[in-house]
Amino acid sequence: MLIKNLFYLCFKRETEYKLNFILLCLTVAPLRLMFLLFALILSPKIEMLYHWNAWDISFLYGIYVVSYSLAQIFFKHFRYMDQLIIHGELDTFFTKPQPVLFNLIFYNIHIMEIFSQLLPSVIILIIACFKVSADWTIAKVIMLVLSIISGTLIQASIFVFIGSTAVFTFNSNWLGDLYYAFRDFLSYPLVIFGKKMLMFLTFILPLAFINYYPARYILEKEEHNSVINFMSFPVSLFVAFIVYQVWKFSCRHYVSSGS
Amino acid sequence: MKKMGAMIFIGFKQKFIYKKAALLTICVSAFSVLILCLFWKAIYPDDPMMQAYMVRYAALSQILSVFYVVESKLSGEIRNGNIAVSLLKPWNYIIAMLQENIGKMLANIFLVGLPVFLICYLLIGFGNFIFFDIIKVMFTIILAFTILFLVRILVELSCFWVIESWSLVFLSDVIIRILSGSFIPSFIMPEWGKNIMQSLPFIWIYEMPIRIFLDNSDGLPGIHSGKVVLLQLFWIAVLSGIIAVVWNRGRKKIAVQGG
Repeated sequence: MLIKNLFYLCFKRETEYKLNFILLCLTVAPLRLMFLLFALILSPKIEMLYHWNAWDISFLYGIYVVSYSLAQIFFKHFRYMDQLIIHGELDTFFTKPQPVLFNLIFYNIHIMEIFSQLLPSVIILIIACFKVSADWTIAKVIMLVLSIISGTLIQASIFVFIGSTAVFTFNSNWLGDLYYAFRDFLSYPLVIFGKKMLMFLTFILPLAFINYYPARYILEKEEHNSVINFMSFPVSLFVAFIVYQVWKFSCRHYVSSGS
Repeated sequence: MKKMGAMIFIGFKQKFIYKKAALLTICVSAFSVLILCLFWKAIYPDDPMMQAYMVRYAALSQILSVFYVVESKLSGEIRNGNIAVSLLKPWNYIIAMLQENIGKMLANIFLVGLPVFLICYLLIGFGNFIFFDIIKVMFTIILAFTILFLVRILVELSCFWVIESWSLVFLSDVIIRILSGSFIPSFIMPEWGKNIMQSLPFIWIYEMPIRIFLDNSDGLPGIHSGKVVLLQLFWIAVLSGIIAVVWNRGRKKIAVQGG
């Protein structure tokens, strides 16, 4: 009930200026298409070299942007935690009766992201699902759903981690920028970047589990029966657990800096 | 001239306050260059010439993006009414803001651009360029930044008619990113994309200054710097004309309540 009320509160807040809300939705939406456009322009080259065609790349991109949009809706606020700390606004989240993490997520649901990011992303993914040459089975559909959940969890965990570091550094912008530099990889099949980068994006910064490994299984590319293709969900749970511990640690050490 | 120097110096000094932030930006930018290098190497594995060119292109584009940052107070001041006070000051509001932004850009060049350029020079090299090439490129960069600034101001002037221009600024950033050749230059684009890019002012912001530098240092006949400067001046004149008309109409709409 509380979540429903908070959702309604956020909806009312964001749609107060209706024209502005519509304009924002209409203008942010093309951003999703921009990166897809880049990938599609380069797709003939990628298909020739690595055998991923334009629709395969769109599918890969679809999984990533749907999970990213879901993470944005609930966890976007964590990316700007440094601003909350500097202005002393984080204190208010500590004074509410629910856990701080709950407050930060549900008092700041980004409704606009549903229309500006999630909706176009879902459309891209649905079209790509119909156009790719995969033989769809129940197992593959389950894999697709799990990959979206896992991708959301991994990206949300990264946002929370960025927020956690802000407690100590008061500036988490650079970490966000660094993450965005890596995130651009997800628009392309990671096989093109070579083995070392794939290892890095598997074991150090596990972005490969967001879309590459699940897509490899669904589209039957490269080592499509490898065990690692099925590891997205357990890995996302592990990442979420670790980041939750980091979050609890940073909450214990939080010192208000505002007035 | 004295006023102009003072405004540029103010912008310059403002940026030098955050030296630690500049250090982090250098690290993130250098890392972004590394990622882009990997990307273009993957796209052109069998064409060393094109690979080397695109790696340098991407590096320079990343460096430019570090100091192509327009900080405008226009929309905020229109919204909160402070524009009324700013208009009373004995200067041309937009030109003063441009001068301040050029100061900030120059500070960013020294603080971040040059260190990242040096890192890239040591790691990937930039061919045989001479000091005169740098002077030419610097001049085109200042003109390019002016075009970027004018586009931004034109978008922000919409604030006279809509409450919040953030959405339009965001959209214009997306369009500039696609059509300026900041990621994919026009000569790689399909014919339709190339035609669109060449008929808009954005290509003169990123692609042309980069190509002047690269084509000169690689000894390619490609781009004539005089022609680039002339076309940049043409776009500056066109945009300034449009801004003058919109600015004059918008000023008549200003209504500030209270004091």
